[in-house]
Amino acid sequence: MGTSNSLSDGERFVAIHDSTRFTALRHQYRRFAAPASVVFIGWWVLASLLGAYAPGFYRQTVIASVNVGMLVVLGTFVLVLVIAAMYLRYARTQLDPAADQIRADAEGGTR
Amino acid sequence: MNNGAAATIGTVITVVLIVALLGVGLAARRAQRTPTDFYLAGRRVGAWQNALALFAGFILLSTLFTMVGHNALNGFDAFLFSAAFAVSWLIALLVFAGPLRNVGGHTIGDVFALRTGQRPARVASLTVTLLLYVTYTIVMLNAIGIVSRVAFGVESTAVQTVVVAAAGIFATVFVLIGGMQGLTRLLVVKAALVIAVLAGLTVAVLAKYRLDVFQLLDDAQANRLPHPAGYDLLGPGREYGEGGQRVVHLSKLFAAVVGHAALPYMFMRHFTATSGRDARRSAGWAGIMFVPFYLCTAVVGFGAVALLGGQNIGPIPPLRDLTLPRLGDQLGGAWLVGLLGALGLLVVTGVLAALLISAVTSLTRDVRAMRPQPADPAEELRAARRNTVIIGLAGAVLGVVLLPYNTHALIPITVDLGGIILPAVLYALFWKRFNTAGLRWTIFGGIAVTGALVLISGLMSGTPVAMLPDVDFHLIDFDPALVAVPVTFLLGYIGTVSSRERNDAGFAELQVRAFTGLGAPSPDDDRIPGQPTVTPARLSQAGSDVR
Repeated sequence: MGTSNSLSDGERFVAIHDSTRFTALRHQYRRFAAPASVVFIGWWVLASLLGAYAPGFYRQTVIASVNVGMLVVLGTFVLVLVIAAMYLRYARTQLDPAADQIRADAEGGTR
Repeated sequence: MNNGAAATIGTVITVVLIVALLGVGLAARRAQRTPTDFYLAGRRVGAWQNALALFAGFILLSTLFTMVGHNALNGFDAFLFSAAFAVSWLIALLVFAGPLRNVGGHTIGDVFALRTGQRPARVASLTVTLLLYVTYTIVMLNAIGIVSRVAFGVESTAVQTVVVAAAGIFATVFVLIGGMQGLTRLLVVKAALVIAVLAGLTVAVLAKYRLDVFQLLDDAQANRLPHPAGYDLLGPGREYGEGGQRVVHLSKLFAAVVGHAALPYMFMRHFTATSGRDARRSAGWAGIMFVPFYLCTAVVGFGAVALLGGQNIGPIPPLRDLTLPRLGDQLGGAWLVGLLGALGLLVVTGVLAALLISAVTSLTRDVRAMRPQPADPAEELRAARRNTVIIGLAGAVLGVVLLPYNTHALIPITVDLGGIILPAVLYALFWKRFNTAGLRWTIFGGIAVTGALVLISGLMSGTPVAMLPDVDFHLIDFDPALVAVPVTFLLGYIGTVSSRERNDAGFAELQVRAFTGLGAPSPDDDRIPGQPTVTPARLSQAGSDVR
């Protein structure tokens, strides 16, 4: 597998790294990871800061003994579930096939 | 609370667990032929088993006992804090779980070595792993003493010492026999028991309120322990406090997110999965499992204060671990307290064993990778087992010696170590320019900054929960990670650009392998990364001259 290739290993990896397919894979990864990270980090920073600097907002009653703060914490847990599930699905359906393609090309020596 | 009966029941359950687990360990030993079988269960751990083991590996005494007590005592602020750990899982899932397994290897040093010089990568990996092993092992053995005190009423230092020493010896013997395969099964057992007991407690609490969560919250609020500044249980303030104090809690909320999922002793769990995809799935599923877990600790914590009253929970932070056994006594008497105590011992011992195998792997594998001559697998396996005995017992001795001290203060310090490793992993995976100097500055600069801040923090002196509560030389109140993590990122940047070294080919190789799984070691593969199947020529190249 690949032993007949005249390129050195380093050159092979650089060639794959520069290939359009791999660049597209990186973009695809970033298209999910970047906005998702902005959302969950942003949410968390906001949730923490509101507790420190707007405690009155969190203490507002919503229903019975449940206040805004409790709902924000519940929202954080829901956000973790949603982003984790979405990423697992996105990686399986979008990233894995693209990665398989690149790997098959490289291992088959048909770059 | 009838501690005598609870202690007897707890001892019986513990002995049964020990016998059963030793059987599990012995069964696992038969499959152990190569060093990778020992370190990584031959990379044969499927996604579900690995998810359960990951989940269990992150459950410390503080995750279960302390978190319940924290919720009961500090209400909303504690509930918010528990969400930080769940958020942390998104970083592990989105950033490094799958890529790390795709690169393969045995230690984090294998990943760094693709971007930097071989030796500095190994030294960095060894330093972080062993530093974490020492601090965390002390904390865990101390926690064994806490369990025997809060669940079984053992006040005698002599008895506590015996229990602590026994736990340290059991972890050592267990790793020696079962290796990673045995440990994985132990952690699966631990996960199943934790889930069963926590779910049972949650159902019992909710049943008392006929599923009326609003009534439960009302009772928790009404029965809360009065706060000096008058804060409610269900609103922010009890931990946030006023003025500058607010930054203290904010810093903890930050530190938990950046440090938790990057704790170095759990990196190995990503390497044990059968493939990068299974590593990704197991990290995702473990993170998802933690959501109901923390919701249950909140129900149980709020339920404890609602049912027991504020004066009968652990009323001050150092006594928070008492809350769960006391609630157990109320709901199920000595039987439940005994079960909780045995569970506490299993919870801690599982982490002890996980720490030990990560330290043994680094000590054996990273040290060997620095040597030029090829290693003989049979000899390496013997060396790994020898190292297990040496550092396992050394850790046990250290834990016993430090038992009288309040070493639980070291927990935030260990999370801060995760905050040092995260910048290094992020730079290695995503920054083309990153190099040897950058790695050195990140790891050693980060350790120096964190260490210095810890020394002058409230973790070391001047607070009731500090290691040295009777003296006071603390200057900062916030968690050191708040400053240390940004500074570590900055140091890594300065270190990198101050050196002219660059290795674009290494970056290309790491990224291609991390994101495509090209050349990833398959299950049962004993090689080190840098020698993928597609590139046999690499065997002769410098930089991966181990075998």
